[in-house]
Amino acid sequence: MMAALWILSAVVPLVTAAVLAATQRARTRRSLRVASGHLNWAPAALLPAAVLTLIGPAEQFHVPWLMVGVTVGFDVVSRALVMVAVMLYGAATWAVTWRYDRRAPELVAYLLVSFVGNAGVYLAADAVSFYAAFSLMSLAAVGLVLHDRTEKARRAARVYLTLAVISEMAVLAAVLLTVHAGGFTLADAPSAVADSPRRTLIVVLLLIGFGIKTGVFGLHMWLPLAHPAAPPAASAVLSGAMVKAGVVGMFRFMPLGEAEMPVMGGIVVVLALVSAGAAVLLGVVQRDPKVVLAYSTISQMGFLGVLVGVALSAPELAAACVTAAVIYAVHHGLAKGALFIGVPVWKHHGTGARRHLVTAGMALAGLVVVGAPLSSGAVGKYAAKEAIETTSLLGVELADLLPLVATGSTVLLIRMLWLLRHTELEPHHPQDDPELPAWLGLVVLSAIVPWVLTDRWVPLNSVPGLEPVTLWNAAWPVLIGVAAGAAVWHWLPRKRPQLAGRLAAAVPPGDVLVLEERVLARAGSVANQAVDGIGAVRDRIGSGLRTVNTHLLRGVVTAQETEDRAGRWSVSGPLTLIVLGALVVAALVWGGSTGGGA
Amino acid sequence: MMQQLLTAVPLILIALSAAPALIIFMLPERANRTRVTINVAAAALKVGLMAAMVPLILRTDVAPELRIPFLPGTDLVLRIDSLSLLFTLLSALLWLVTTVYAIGYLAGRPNQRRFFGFFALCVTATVGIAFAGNLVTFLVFYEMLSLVTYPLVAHYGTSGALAAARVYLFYALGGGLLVLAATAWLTIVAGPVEFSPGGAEAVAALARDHPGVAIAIFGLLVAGFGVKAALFPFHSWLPRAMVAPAPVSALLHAVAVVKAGAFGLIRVIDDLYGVELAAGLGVLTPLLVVACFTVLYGSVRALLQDDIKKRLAYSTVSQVSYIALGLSMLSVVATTGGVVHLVHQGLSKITLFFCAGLVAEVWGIKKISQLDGLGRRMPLTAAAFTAGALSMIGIPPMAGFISKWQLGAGALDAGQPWVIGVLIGSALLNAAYFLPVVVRMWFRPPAEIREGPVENRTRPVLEAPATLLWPAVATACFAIAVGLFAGLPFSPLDVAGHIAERVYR
Repeated sequence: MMAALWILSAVVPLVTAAVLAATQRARTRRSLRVASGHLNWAPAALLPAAVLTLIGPAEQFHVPWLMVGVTVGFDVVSRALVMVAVMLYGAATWAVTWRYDRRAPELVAYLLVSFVGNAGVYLAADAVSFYAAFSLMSLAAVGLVLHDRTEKARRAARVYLTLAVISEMAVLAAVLLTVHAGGFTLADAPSAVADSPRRTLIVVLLLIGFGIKTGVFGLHMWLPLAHPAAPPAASAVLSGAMVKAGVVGMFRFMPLGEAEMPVMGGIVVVLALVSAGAAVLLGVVQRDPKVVLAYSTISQMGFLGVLVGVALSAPELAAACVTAAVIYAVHHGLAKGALFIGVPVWKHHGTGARRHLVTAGMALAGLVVVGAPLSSGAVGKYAAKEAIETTSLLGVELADLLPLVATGSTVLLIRMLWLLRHTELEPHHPQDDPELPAWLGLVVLSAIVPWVLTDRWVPLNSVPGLEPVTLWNAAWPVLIGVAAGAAVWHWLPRKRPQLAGRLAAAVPPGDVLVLEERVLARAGSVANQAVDGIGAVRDRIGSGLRTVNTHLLRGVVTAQETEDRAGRWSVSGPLTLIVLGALVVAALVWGGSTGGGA
Repeated sequence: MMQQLLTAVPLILIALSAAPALIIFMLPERANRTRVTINVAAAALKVGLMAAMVPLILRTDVAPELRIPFLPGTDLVLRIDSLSLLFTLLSALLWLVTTVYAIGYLAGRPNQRRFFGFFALCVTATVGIAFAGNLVTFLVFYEMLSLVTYPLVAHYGTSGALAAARVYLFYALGGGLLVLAATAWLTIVAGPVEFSPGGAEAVAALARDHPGVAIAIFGLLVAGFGVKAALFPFHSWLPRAMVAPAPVSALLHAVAVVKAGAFGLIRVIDDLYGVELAAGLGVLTPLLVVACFTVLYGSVRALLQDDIKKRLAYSTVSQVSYIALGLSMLSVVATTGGVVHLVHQGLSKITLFFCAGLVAEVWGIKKISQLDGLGRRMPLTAAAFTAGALSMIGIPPMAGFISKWQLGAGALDAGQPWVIGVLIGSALLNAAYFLPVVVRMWFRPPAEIREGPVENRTRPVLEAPATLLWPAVATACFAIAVGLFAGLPFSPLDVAGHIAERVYR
């Protein structure tokens, strides 16, 4: 029975995706109605997976004849995250169906395939299935990014695909090394990596591969480009679920709790803090609310990166760090998705009395994301703070730095709200579709469900209580952020309007990417010149050889002509005889003299 | 009685391939129906017979053998062991599929009798190569293959085709000459030598007494087989042979010529010298280096091509060297990877060539830049092409991933971790020249197509005719299936594993 449920959970979304892809060609009114009917049922394709997550036992499901043997199973890391993924993808798919346009089936098909890959990453219990699911997820996301077919989307897809392929290859190399070290099952992988002589190489490869996925600074360029280019439902799953898959990969393969790597751990913590800080600075000057949300994701993934780095350098804290990170991811995922889906909701319903409803919804989701006191996000932050205890970096206590991430998130959130307030609205949207109530329902769920999930499946030693100290600890970063944001909101446009404008134009969404593209273009032209140079040298050698050839031929022809002319010379016969005779006489005389002398 | 019956099997199988050739040559040009019936029937019968032999050969370790006295001291030996079985099963299956495709492709064109006659002879030669039990037999069928593929390459008869076929013949016969020299030398110094798993005794004795001679003979053999297997620097004939009709390119690349060269390498390294002996002589490392260089070189050249078939040709140059790469590492897993890549690459490549031929036939598309929007015009063809391309890059669960996984694991096993760098680099290059094509096919509006011979090009969706389309879709499904179900018994991976294990003692 369980086997059937496992198989259905994987097969039903894929088959639904195939059916939707085939109905893409619907042209007549009748076929459009049929196709639209299929589309409305599409979110139900996730039901088997939801049922499986709720009732599935902890035993692993093993299929020996699939590829090189596939094993999947639930554990403390995966169950809550899969439930969040099911809800997020379900919400995203439903959001697409709110308004049927001709290419909606294609988007839903890619969403369903990405779901299978994404859930597979969480559930994989052996290295090869993990890699297979990771590849499936990465490649299916291309369809999400490219959905709108605009020039912006093409550029975003190019960058995304390049980075995704690099990340896949890095992960493949790391997986090969891990399996060789004895870590074929993911339960054995961390200890296998810890005992391997190539431990540092594996960790570096994992950092590159999964760091690209989580948007670590330096490899993050695809995030700010892909999020605005993709439809809002797709951005919701990109930020809410796919990015978390990178973090899960780090947990599965890195030797957390098995090896002490203080140097690598320190590097990871520094990178993560830089990501968190730089993302805030870069994000606050952007002009598109979705780009701001993308930078906010990078910043929050930096928060998780700190936990990974601490776990890497202090094995005794690893278990607590991993649990804290999972809780944070669970609480963060749904709310982030609600924020993304809320952007078009605002555009459609941002007028009149409904405007306050939407603002309240956005504010609620935003408070969960930044971890305001009494929200579910605070649980994650509290857990993280407890996990890293008294770890310090270069003399500074990390526990003091972490809350500043919340400040940064709050600033970004306020910037996003400001941008929304000043964007063009599209109030001619049909008013009788379920968009607004459905989205509000999603926001409420995102505030409540994570409590339930973590309560049942990710047991925490201590939950933030209602003491004033705890509340204040959660509150002060947010309050600073609110104060800073409000001050800039009111002050900057009035006192320094030009500065505001110039800052906004200074940093394009790709930031580092623009520099890298220029460097690559330069390298490309240099390479072209080199190839041309080689071609010119080859041509010169070729023409040189041809000239030599011609000279040789000319020499041969001249020799031939001389021979002919000599043959035609009438005196040549007697002349030859005389010369021969003289030579014979000379030889005899010389031979005789030398012979006689001896 | 059973023994006598088994002795006849190799002869029956070769006759099954040669008899259609003779009959086709005797039929008149316009006897289309009879020709088609004979072709398809013979191909189907062969696949059935080979499939029936599978449990017998793999489970009971029986190797039906036939000996015919040929030269003084050396017999013509035809033997079916598990490696011959694998190769012949692949070629029988792909012969059936390519026959159907060729029937559709060449329908209404002249010179079909000549084409199908030499086609059948080509398959006969391939079967003979697979069954060869010693170098002399191998050489006889190897040269036969070179000769009978010349008319196929030159089929269109244009001056370009004839020039390319001349270059091909020059390379192929040159390679054959090297193999002949090596065979003669080996027979003179070591006596008549037969293939035996793990290496022949006489060659081991030769390597002990005269290691320099053994190394020189190995070099000659590898060079001779490397010409057909398109190892650098003997690969130039392959892109030039793309002037042949698409079924010929498909056959050449996937089954017959290139794979015959690779098969020869397998026989030399595993069944003539033995891997351990070759490693002891120190000849495996140079081969490994050459193979790695060819892998990267082929991929780089492919990146720079705009013609679809040329790009696929350079991709073949790169991919077949994976086989040489796997063979030249001292590890069971690596040898498994090399042998199974023979099958996996054949299936994926033939899919890609079928699709290339399809789009050229129906829409006149010959350049990569014209493939924009193919997903809208020919969805099934585009899907098959995508499957083949993903298999080339090595994305799970396709066939190419399984062999790449084996090669990578084998490289670590054999203590050569730098080979993983080559594999990853090549995968990145493959992604660079296949993924943009796939993305353009599905996500760009269709490119402008010039007016051409097919009248219905004004229709928005025009799939190819069934005889052209279904072979491509079938091989794409096979490529997915052998990867997805690689863990089943009797899968190519399983059989390759058995073959590799016999080789290591």
